[in-house]
Amino acid sequence: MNDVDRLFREYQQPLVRYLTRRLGDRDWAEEVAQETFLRAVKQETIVSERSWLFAVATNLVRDEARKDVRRRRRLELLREQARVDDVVDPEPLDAERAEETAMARRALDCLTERDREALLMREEGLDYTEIAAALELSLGSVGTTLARARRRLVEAYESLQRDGSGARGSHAAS
Amino acid sequence: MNRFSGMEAELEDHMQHLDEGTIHAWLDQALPPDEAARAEAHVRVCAECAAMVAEARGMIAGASRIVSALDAVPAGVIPRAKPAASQPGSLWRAMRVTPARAALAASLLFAVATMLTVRHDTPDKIVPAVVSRVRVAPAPAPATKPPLPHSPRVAQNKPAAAPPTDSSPPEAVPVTRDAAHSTLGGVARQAAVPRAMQLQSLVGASAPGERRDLAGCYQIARDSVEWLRSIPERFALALTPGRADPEQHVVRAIAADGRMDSVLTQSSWREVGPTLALVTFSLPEGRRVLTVQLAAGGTFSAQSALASGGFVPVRIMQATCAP
Repeated sequence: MNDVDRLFREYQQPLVRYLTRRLGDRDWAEEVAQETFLRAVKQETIVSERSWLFAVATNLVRDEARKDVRRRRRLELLREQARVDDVVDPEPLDAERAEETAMARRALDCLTERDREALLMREEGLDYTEIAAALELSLGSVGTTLARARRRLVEAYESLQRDGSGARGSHAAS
Repeated sequence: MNRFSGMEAELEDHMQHLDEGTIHAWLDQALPPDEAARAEAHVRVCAECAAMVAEARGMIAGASRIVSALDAVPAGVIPRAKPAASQPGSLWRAMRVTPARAALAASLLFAVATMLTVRHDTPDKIVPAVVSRVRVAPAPAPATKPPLPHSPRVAQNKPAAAPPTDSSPPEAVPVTRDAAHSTLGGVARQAAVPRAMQLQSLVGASAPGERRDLAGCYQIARDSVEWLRSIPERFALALTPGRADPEQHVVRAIAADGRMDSVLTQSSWREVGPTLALVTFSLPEGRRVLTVQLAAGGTFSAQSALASGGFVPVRIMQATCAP
């Protein structure tokens, strides 16, 4: 039995950020994080808390993504549209930034699932041991995984930039 | 026979190029000490791998920036870090430093790193007169023209034109070629800018658990060129000695709204004036000095030098930030 208050205090924020980056949806991320903490409470012993939580969250995302990726996509689109309608654009640069975000999202989509997860975990400050544990990788392959992930992400992003079609079309780069 | 094969093995070990994964692990400080030492020794003598290291730095910084761009979702969607000050990437949003712009910074870094590597390898051929003392002038007035970017004399002896500012100017401080860190050690004392003083007390008040929060920040500032892009018009810098080792400084840039944007460890920053700063940072290839100059229109120029080989400007770059 784990102290859920403490776990929540310590890990909720990085976990939700990780999940939001991964899923592109804050509400969904919150849901997954919540489910992760619920499972942590039921878990008897957790050796490495952070990698355990990230691993469980990652698996929940994978399971759910497998189940209803289409429905999710559709809802995401609707939600995004609703948000765009709601948001008052205070700065002229916001369109440019939205495009950057869209390009970043699409570049991230070009990565394999494992590469993407490793990179996002690293960005949340997980060390190589924790990433290896969470993704069931060997410690020695984390560097290679991150190197590949970073290179692909940067290359995909640059390629999208060159195409100048960041906000349009889909998956132009790989 | 044994002796020879031993030597061969050693030579081979020495010549063994680093693979990309190892380089990333090294830069992420994930290699065990002996492997890290081996990587460092190899990079010192292998220009090819040194170039790969520079490229990897660019990749790490670039990827980090792209990931941060994902957070630019409608207001308040991404959770904030507990202390607003240590929110990773906050300044990127505040500054609108987009990945597109950051990409330029990454390529600039690559250029600098490559140049430094080359210079480091062949100091006799390239390094001109070694300057034993560099006089860093006090804060320049905003109206003053920056020094000519291509004048080596200006670059070596006077990183900035130096008339006093409206406020009390800091005293001119000599920077000796062999004393990069003594200069840096004195930063706290030299921070004559009131804002910077304020920030130091802010830093002094950090919570004990802070180091962990900072883990998420360091990628933002891992390459110093990013600082060129991240300095807003109103900013301040604070420096604090490392906890474990006073020689390892932690440098922070703090935006006018009080939010901390980045942390650069094993390095130190010295604000010379409102448009000029000097940052020294340790990299595997040796200690480096980067002089950053910001002009009023958002233009910046930077000079880099290997402190160990004298303060020698290796290149002056200029770029214009989008207003």
